[in-house]
Amino acid sequence: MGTVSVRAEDRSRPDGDMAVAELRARAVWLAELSSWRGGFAGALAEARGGLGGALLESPRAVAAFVGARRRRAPRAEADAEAEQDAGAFAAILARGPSAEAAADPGVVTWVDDAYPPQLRELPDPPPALYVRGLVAAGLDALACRHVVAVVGSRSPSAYGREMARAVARDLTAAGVLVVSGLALGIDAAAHEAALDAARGRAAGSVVTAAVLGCGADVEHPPSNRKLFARVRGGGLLVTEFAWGIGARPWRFPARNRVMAGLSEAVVVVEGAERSGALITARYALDLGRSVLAVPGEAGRRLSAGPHRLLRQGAAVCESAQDVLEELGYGDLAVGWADRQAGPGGGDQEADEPAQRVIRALDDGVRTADQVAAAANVTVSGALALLAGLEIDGAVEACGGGAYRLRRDGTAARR
Amino acid sequence: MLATVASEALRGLEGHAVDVEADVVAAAPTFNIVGLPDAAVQESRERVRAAIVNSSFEFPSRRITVNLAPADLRKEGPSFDLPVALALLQATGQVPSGDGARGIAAVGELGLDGGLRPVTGALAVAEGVRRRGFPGLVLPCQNAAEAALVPGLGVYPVRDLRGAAAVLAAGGKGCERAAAPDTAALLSARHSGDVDWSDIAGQGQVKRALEVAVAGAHNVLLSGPPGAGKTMFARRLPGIMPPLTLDEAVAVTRVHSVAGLLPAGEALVVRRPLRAPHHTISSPGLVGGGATPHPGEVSLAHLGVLFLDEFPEFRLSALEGLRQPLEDGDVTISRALTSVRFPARIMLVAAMNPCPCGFWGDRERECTCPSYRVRQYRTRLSGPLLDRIDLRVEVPRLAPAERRTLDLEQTSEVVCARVTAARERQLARLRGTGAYANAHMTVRHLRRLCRLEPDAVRLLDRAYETLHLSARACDRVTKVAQTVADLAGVEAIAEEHVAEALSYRLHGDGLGAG
Repeated sequence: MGTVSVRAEDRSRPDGDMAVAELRARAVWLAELSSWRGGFAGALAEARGGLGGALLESPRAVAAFVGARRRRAPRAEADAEAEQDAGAFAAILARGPSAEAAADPGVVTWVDDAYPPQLRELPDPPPALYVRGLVAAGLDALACRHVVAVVGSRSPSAYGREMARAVARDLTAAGVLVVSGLALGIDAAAHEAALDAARGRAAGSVVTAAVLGCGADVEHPPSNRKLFARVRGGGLLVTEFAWGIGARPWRFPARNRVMAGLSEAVVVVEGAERSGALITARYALDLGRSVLAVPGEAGRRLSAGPHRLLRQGAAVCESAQDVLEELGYGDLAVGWADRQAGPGGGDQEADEPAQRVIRALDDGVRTADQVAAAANVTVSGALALLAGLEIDGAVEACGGGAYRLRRDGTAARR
Repeated sequence: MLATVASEALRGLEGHAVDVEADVVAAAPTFNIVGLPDAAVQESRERVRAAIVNSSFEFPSRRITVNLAPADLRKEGPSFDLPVALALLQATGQVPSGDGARGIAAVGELGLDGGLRPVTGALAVAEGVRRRGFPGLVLPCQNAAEAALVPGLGVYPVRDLRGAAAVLAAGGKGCERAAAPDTAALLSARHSGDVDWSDIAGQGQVKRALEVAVAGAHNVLLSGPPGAGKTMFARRLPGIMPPLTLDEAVAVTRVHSVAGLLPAGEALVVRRPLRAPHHTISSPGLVGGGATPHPGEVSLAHLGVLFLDEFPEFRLSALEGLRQPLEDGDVTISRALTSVRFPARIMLVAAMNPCPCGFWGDRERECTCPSYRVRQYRTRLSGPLLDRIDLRVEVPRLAPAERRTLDLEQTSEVVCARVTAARERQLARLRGTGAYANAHMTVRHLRRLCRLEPDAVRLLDRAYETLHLSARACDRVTKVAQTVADLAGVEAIAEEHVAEALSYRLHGDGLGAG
């Protein structure tokens, strides 16, 4: 609403004749400052009636604003980090806006047309975004395609991982751009599923976007290194933090705000009572976006987050179909019903015992012993059949000697 | 006057000839022992003096020199007490040193009262004595049974110094000799099993996996939450392994005797050993070592099971030390002057929790470990060591109903019979290769001796692709599949055998395909 018009107004104001280049430099400068002091651009924007107003402030006025604001005493345990951050902040403040930093092709500012329009709805939009990967196509996709965030715990259960994968895969198949945070666990599963689902599409098509809580050139966590490369090749890395900025705890909630701002809907798969996924959901609710939650098993720690959301009125997400219907795009679910036939459907030639094994797994997770008893085969026979079905991609082992049917039905293994 | 009594020093598992010479001359009274003796041998002077006096012999108050020849071999421990005392008695003419006495060697530790205490390694000593061609050995009666295992050696069990002196005086004639133990009866006696395979409720998949492992002598990694029964399984493994042959039993006895673990009076270790050292064990403790090399747990588990619970918690140096024994079936310990080889043909059973808290992947309980801790815990296991472990088995926590399902028919005896039959098939196939079980096949044996049916080959190829197996993992699968086929009593490896072998992988991150 107001934000877009403020921006138009900025450009037409007499003192807004200021060159666009200068505005971009200031936006990048504010983004750099905010990278070191969380919420700085937001505070300035709040004081000046919007980011537009903040950008019109001269560097000197910004410096004065910094001086006028009382700084919170840094927490004792984070002293060294806080000091380092404060030092970097002061250095950038003293340097002032830099045309060089603004000329970076990997930077898109609030002033630019390529800036994702939905982010402007945030009360404190990032003054600039740093992007890597398929930059132009990615920004275009963020602006024009349906965007859904799939988020959740960093240490999910096998069930959570599977649900995240299934939802992300089917959303991608329906043409939705899946966004997540490239953390471990659910985030990684969502990105991977999207990339897997898009296998065979034309090179250079954008299938997923990752919103980071660190610089776009910083690979955090390091164990996701391969996934970073895949996302760069098949999508976009987005962050409001400048190049080379490392991960700090406070940067992740800020990242979640951007993720919520980019998405039409947020799907929370698993999360504890106090988790980043819930923060994302709260931002989404504040922005009036849809929030969906995948129900978990009652009483588990990781079910607490989604169940709380459900209690507060979030929609139930059992599959990608639920997400599409919540958004009113039920007709997007092309080709989805075919896959519903389930893993058993395609296995017409499967022999009798194998089908009995599949039936034994219909009700959920079973150990090989239980399968053997239910399918009336020997234990060694059950182990052999399960291994065969696992290779076929119909069954997967889920730890503790137990097996389950694969609901996502793809043969590809991580 | 000079006298010599033959004895033996242990180096590793072998006895080495030592001649104890005593020289008594009329000069100021001293008592010296020379010939590279250690502290325990030096102290034997005091024991020998008291034992001689308290046995109503006379201790000469003259200049006594005892030499342990050869002088370049380190002599250790108290087992020279008896030969030193006997040589002294001969040198002073209190015991006649005729030709009969020359053929009798002696070992034993003396008490101050002249009584004899058992020594370690009596079996190895007796074998050494026999190799030197001596017809007789005098030793403490507690050690007689094991020494009597050596054929063709007259073993004279004695209780004290007087008894030993009497044997020497008579040249062994008419003295009590230890009867050779009835090894056949010992070995065939069914062990009144305090633990049995059928004690374990449920867990059919784990039982099956372990049966396969034992049948092919494959090393196993058990992974499961605390209390799932990993230790219970391990304790019952020796009971389902093929019974020891006489040669094997003697080999096990030799090691245990040297380590001083053979109960006094026992002739033979008749059950396969199970060693379960704590995870704080040092590297020398596990693989053997020490200034004078001592057998470690791998050697004590020779021909049996080495069970390492909390596998990732072991010191890395200790675990790395396991690689060579797992590869070669023995341990070589080199010291400046000597190098000693201990046998170590073991089946390794490693057990671990799936994560530090133990509940990763559990259906009902939730894992509280941060993901990096889980990864850290698992990456402690080195790839090369994991490569030596053919089967990885997940032990699930039982559902309440399953805790009551006992299969009373599958006793240790029944399972053992199946395992033994499978081993016999392997021995026939592997004749002439030096390997005695499928686990020890080299890649060449694998290519030459294992026949896969076309279906099995296709399945293996598909698994290679979809499960991202390494070539080495494929070889492991083939070995295990061969064992499954042996248990089934068929020669060629069929599709279902490969499939079952494929299921013995760990499915969590990181340890799966390996």
